[in-house]
Amino acid sequence: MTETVATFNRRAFAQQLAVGVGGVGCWSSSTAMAQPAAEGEPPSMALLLLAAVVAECPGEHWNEAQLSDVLQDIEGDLGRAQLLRTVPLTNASEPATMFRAPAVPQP
Amino acid sequence: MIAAGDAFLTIDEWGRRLRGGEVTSLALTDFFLARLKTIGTAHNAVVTLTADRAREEARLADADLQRGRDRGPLHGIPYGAKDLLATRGIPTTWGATPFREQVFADDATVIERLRAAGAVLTAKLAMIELAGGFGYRQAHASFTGPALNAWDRSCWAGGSSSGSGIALGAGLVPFAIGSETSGSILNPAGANGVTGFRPTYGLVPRTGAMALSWTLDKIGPLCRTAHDCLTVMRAIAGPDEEDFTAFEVGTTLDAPATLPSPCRMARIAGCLRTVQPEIADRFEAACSVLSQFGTIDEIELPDLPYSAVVGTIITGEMAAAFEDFIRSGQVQELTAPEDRWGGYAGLVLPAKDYINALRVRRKIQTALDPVCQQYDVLLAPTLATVAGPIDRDFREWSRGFASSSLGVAGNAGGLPGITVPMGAGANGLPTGLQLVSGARRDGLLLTIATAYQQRTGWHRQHPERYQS
Repeated sequence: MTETVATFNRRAFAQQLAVGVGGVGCWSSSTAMAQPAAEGEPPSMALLLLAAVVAECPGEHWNEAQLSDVLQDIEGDLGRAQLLRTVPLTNASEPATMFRAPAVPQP
Repeated sequence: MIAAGDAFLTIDEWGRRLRGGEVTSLALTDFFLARLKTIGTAHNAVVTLTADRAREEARLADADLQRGRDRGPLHGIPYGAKDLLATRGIPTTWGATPFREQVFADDATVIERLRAAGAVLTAKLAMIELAGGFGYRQAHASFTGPALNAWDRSCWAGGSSSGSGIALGAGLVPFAIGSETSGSILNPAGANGVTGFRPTYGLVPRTGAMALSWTLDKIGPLCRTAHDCLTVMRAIAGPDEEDFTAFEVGTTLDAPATLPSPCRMARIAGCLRTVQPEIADRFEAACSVLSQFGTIDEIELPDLPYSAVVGTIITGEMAAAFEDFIRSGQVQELTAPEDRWGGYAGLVLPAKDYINALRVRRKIQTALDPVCQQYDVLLAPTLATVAGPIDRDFREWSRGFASSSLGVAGNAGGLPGITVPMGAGANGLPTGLQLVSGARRDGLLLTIATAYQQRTGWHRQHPERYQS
């Protein structure tokens, strides 16, 4: 994951993302297409999620440092998910959720 | 006239003075209000002094006692509450600038129960903004300023129940209420050299408390002793119509008259690997005391990703709880720069990752259960270091805060835990011993911690400057 991020042009991507929702389109139309095929591999999950964050919360407040911080957080979350996948879970492994059915109304 | 040194008396000791007519609740309340105003303010420990309400409650407590109506051990005893607990007509700020004017119409259930028990609310205490869920990395993460340690104002007081820890450490109240999602009671209690108790998940209702993580949040007391914690717990525990995770107390808070014979204890393997040498020494000394009660084995906790589970759950639930706050841009008004950006990643956390964390959490419960059946209590130092410099990034000094995975495992498993002082570490700052028991064995845990405190005097050591 980190390797993908390191080889990706984060600066250009961040700059494009910083303009808001259109950033994702800018990336796909210019950054990826403009790069040679070997360098044009799909971006990492973390970068795509970062694009989703900016798409969800567009605005003028994003700068590269902040995007980098959020990207690190996303990478951390995805890293934790990888750790979770090291625990064998079966189809019957239920989550420990809070929901419970309501009590039967008393007549 | 109440002497400054009396500020560190226990709930029972104040109770005897109140019932013996040596002091009134009103005098006691004014005594602590004055300390909160001066010392508390100097340590950034107080958000709001609730003087009017406190004096009203104290007068009522005094009148009741005169009429022979005694509401129990907390009758007339002042306390402070972490400012994430709603209080009717008084601001509840959650430690965060955007919520400075927030006022609720009702008291939180815990506050209601303490009022019914005769306790006197004297202050809303400082906390890390939004209970620390946004990823703060340094002490200046509350609109009340960095929380300054009770023993040394150049050091951090811990968080997120920062004001509660300071208030006990500096003798500003006889007890306080804090909350823990993962570490927020034990961390400041350990850093300030006081006793802090995290109950079994669901033992204390959260109605009226700010939600950071519905499946992890717990409310618990910080006190002078484990025995005082039991006293407070008996007043605040039990089911609540508004919080369906809160369960019947049953035998959970039963304190056995004698310790199990032999008491079966286990220390966590490797728990001294990263700690400061003074903490290792203090821990060995504490184990030596505990060995009088029974056996102490050394064990490894089941190999499971405790931190990944807790981190993923907090991230997902916090993003849901604060989504509007983040999207609206209000998050940009938080004090710590890193908190202004720390909530965004959670907005895109894959649902299956959150669900998988909850699935692994059940595995954790299943795996920890036999360990907690085999042992009455598990042991490790509370923190890897003593309190660190107030102006430095945590990553420069904290060694990750935890000495082992016991704390995060206990939170993942919903297990009760307590920190008790175990003596001075580096720079004369306090160190803490962490004890964790099986779920719903809170009474046993508090009994063992009480037995430890009956054989040690560390919980009676206080900052010299605040005793005179």
